[in-house]
Amino acid sequence: MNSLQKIGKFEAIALIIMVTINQIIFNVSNTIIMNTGSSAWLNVIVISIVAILFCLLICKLFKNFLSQDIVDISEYLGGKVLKTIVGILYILFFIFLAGIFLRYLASSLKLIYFEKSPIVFLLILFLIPIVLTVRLGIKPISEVTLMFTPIVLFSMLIILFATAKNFVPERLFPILGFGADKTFFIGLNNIFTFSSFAYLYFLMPILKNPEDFKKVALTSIIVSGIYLFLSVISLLMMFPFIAFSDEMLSVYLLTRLIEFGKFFQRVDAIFIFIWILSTFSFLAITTSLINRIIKKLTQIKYHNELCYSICAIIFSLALVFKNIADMKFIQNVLLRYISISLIFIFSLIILILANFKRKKEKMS
Amino acid sequence: MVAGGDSSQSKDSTVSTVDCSSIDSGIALVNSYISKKVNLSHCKAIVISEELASEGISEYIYTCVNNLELRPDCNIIISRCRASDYLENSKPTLESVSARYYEFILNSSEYTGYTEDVTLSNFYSDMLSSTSQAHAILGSINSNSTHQSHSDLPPYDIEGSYEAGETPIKSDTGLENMGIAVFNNDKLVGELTGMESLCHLIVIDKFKSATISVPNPYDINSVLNLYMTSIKSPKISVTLINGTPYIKCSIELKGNILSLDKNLNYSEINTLETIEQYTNSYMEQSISAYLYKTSKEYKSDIGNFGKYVIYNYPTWDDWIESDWLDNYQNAFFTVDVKTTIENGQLYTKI
Repeated sequence: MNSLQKIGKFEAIALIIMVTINQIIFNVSNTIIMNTGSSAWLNVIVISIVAILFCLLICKLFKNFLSQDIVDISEYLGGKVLKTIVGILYILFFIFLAGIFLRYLASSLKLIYFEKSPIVFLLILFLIPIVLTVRLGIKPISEVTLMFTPIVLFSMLIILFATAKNFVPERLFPILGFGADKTFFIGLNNIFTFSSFAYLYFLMPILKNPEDFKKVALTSIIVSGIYLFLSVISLLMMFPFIAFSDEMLSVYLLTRLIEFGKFFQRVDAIFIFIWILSTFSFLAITTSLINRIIKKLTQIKYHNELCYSICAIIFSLALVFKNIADMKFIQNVLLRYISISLIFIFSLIILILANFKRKKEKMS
Repeated sequence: MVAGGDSSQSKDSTVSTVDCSSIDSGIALVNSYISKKVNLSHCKAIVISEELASEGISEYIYTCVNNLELRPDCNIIISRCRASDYLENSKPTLESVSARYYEFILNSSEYTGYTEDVTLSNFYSDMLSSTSQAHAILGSINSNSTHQSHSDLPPYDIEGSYEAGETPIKSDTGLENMGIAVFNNDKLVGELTGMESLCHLIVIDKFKSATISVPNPYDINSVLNLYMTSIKSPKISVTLINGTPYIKCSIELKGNILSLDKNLNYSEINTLETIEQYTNSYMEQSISAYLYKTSKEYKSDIGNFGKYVIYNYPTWDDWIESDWLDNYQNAFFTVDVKTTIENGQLYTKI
């Protein structure tokens, strides 16, 4: 790969964190709370520990495949057939993720600020900058993401601290929420909130120094876990009804309560603006990865031109969803099981088997 | 519709009333009538009549909460008169903008303690909470016909005994927000007086400062005025004894004596200690009366005592099964007030 398109340690960390932050903005915290109730914060601690352990396992499994991503490893394990299957599955997953996030943000913006604008205009407005940035490659996207990430992280902290005066810590109880089983066993499927692992699988070849993979992966997963935890406890401590209500954007409800004295009120627009920037980054990262996978599968020479087609597909998919109910179902049910099956089971099996194969080869 | 020129409102505001099936359809009707779009972005208060509140207002509250224009910090006022009368009798004084008038008039609870600054967000949260019940600001028109005379009460009890509209006051304002409207679920079940509201603020740790009258220990026919502030958050413990809640409140207050009397010497320790004892006793009685009123009479936990017992239940099902909000009516209370009287104002003796 062209060394100019390799990214550094901090850029990689920012890239992964940005994916999780986008998930928090798009209500993943509320999904966890609705499943577990007041014990959501315990559940987040549990799934964060599981995610860290999973991360350590992934790092160990990738050790034998420096500078290779999950598609390359699939080719090594099962030849072109498996490579194509894995590649297509990840392309579909990323397109699906980008499509639903794009539509969710566009619908939310339409509801809050652009009531009379057709959704198509909003979708196009988002996709035009994506097309322009993806053509430049992953390096500029990562650099811009690195610039945005501290702003986004800081804005999330401001939301938490500015609303903290209204927190009621007792709302974190009953400690086991909807039950111990839902908190510690069934609730484990909330691990899907760490679907940023999907991006980690493709990080190795674009890292300037592949030895940094472990540091990047661990740091980004720990930071993601901390932010997920903070978002969940702040929602729980603020709204007593949060486990039973379903909002478009839970974190937006928090921003509506922010006021600094009598002079700085209604600051939610600033946060929406920051979230739009983070969504740009997220969509650009995702589209860029789709581009790279297609390039790997097809050996196409001028792969940058593919971004038009990819954005057109994402745009079409975003238009498929009829209403909020469709999106909620897909986000809460389909995305959950697709993420778990593809990222945490299928990919892990491939990595384990590939390691066995490599070990066998070394022995023979 | 009442035009500004005909009503007592400031000239740049109008009051429109419409009969309708819901808030949104009413706004649509008003929009068509005034040929302008009503925008609720700067709405400062939602006024609901006592009559409607007694029937249940969850439907209206849900609609308001779901409205993007309405901010969660707008106040909820339960009017003892018709809501339209409340608005029509509003005469903003000392403020030229009606919205700012409503904003500041409701902030008075910070230095009077006679009501609570209850927002839409607070009301909605409490209404849906399993540990507490909702309450709102109590408001009314204040006119000669609504004034009440409480001359039968001891002098130190008179000021705090009024509810909204009853205070014998002559002013251009026309409105009075005093007391708290108590809800059980979404239905209005009772009202608290000014002093009871002050006790409520102390118990829920929202008390900032207030001027209160306590019996003068050295002259039974006179009162001492104290400027009270909160020293620290109250310590509240809730124990379940055979399923019955036993609620213990330990409260610490600080006071400065505003009154000055020829017979009193505030530089004497004994005098201050005697005043402290009287104040403690008076506040304990007042707070106990407020607590028993909410528990036995209104059966509504507006003090959010449920949050002190929820620890005892491991799961949500266990907690709901305990039915705290219903069990609150069986509660009994112990109140312990410790007041520190620091000094007088400029003089300690005259």
